[in-house]
Amino acid sequence: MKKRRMFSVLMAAAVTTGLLSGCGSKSPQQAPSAAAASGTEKAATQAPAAPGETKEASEASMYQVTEPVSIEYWYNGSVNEEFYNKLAEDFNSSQELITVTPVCVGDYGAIGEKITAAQAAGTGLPGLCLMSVDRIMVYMESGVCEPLDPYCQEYGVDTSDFIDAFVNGGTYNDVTYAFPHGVSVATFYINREALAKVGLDTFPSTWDEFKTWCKDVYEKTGKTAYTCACMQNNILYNFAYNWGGLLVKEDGTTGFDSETLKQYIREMKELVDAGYVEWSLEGVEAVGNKFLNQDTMCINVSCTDYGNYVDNDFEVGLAWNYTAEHGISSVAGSWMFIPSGQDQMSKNAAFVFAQYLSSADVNLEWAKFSSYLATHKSTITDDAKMADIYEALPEMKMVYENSDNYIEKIKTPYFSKAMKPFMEAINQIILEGADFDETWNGMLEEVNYILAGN
Amino acid sequence: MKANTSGQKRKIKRSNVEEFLCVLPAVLLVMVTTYYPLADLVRISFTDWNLLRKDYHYVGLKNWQWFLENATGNNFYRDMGTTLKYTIGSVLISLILGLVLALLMSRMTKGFGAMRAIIFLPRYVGMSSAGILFLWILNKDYGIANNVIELMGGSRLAWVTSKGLALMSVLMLTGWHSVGYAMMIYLSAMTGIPSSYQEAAALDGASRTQRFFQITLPLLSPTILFLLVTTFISSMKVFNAIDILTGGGPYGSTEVIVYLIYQLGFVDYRVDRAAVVSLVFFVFLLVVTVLTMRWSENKVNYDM
Repeated sequence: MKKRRMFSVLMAAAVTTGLLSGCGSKSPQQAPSAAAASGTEKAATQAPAAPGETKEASEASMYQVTEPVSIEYWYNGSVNEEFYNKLAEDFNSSQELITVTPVCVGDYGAIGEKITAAQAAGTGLPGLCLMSVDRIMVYMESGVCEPLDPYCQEYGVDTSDFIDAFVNGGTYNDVTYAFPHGVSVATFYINREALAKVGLDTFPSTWDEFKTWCKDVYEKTGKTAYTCACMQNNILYNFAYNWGGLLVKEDGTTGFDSETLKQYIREMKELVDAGYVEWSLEGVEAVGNKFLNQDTMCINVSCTDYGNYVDNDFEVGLAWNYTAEHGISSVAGSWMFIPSGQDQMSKNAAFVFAQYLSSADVNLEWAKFSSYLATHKSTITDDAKMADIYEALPEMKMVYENSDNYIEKIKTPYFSKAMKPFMEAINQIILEGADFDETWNGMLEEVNYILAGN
Repeated sequence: MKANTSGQKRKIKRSNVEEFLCVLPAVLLVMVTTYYPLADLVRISFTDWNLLRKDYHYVGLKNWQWFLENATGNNFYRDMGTTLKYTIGSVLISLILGLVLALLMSRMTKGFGAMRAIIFLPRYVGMSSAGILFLWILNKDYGIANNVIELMGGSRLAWVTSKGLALMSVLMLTGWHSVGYAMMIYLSAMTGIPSSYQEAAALDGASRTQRFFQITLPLLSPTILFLLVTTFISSMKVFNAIDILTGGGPYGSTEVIVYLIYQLGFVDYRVDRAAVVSLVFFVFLLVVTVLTMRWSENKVNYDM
């Protein structure tokens, strides 16, 4: 009987342990060193200086590609396959030693899982990888990304031509770890045609005007004036920032406790309660559909969607968010980085490809193809270069003209985690009618708990 | 006589060794793929391993202390409650709806065969595809579900985005996906029940209901136990459906334990903490499974 019981316990254990195999299948001891961004490892891999050779010259040589090397480039979005394949083909034909193979991994989540597993296993890493800005922050802080400054120095890359907010998005503690690639900002989309029909030609430029405008739109069109995709942390981050609510203050605690922000949320709730504004928990695709179906007259989403919306049954307009106190939009999208765990030759090859991919000309082609923003100041200030973009996407000019109002997201590895309780608190207050002070104070406590590293 | 007995014993011993050697590869495979990771998980729970960093240190009971002191703050209790709620719903759908469908589809004619296939078919649809499909079916503004409700005079429901309905939406998806499997298991068990039992009872004047409760149901008890245990464990491990349909929202109302483990391990990269939560969850599942099996010893009828 005892044996039978023991057998039962072992059987049950075997059935239930299947659950855990995912988390414990790899011992950290087996994980080879993620290489390092540290100077000590670099020193270990560099050749000793030859007699008469300066130390600087010796260090510089370690960043050169001196033997044939093949690397993978991991990107998101199968819609970009054709572009990247052609790009890699052009690049490979110009190189004697480097071969790049583009690999579409899936979305950012899939890339994140794969890169994390490869990093932990110490094998199977790509040469160059795209990643969303939120995760890049964590990667930069954790040493997953190779510092690019020595490579920039070696290859004479001037990052100052990147739009400031874009290059800042790829730096951490004043070290450049990533170059901007598929970058975007949020902007308002308006149904210009329907609004013009009811005499609402001008998009509001102050908060008070916006409140009146929402009421007018609702009354004159019978449709929702504005739908907010409130599950997008980028959108709510902008709202908070624009009304003085900083995710992290200099002392490391949250600055969400802004009276202006609280007042703004109260007034937004009034607009939602009146039915003028929809605070939507649905995904950005569902919100976009609502706009395309003309069930809402205005949405606030990534400027890259303009390419999808512009060929439509109605005229789509873009408008900058001047209704807020600061009128900024934080940059989102993807940055490219070199995993520090790669071998030095692959990193060198990856940098050469990154340099090519982020060069002004190639980036402009990418911007035309994808509707992502061109990243170079020298490009966006040259109307001749931008002519094709402005012809296909005329209202993007307004977005580029506001490049001074782009800001990088605040640098904290806890960005996504800390934004979650903030978003939930706002949504509960606006949608569920939760007690403001109690919900708000609970949120502040939780965000501070997360920011403290818990 | 004595020599003969010891010879027999030696023969039995040799036979035992041979049998052991035959199963040894399988045992080793299970040890390496199942028990080693479990043991390693225990070790990881005593480290400060961040998945993105190469180095780690042993920190004693620090992670366990974090778990015990912050079980409310880290949402363990909330997520455990959600997991149990989901599991109860999922088990009931499989056990009851599966049985009802099996009874309805038990006639072995061609038409019923096609219907059985239709009900079983969702099992072959990937959960990711099914999840996206349900996202649109349950869409508040344009979904078919709400169109039907509206045609019937009801008002549109925020299936996926309201706290009260989100978990039910997940159950609809996973129920649709898995009920056909339960039905097939029941059907195969029902074909094993000798028809003479039913005939004898009918001759004795037992009604259909009496025959179901007195003959069919007791003889299905091993199948019910099997479905109970397997559905219980697989439901406790639900992840994909929730990740796609609700992402744990709204307001964490559909966040389950495996989702929490995933968040800790692959979003926060705190594998050490993920290991602690995994181990606690493992022990919970182990205890519940053992108790269920022991409880079932007297309840399940294996005679036929």
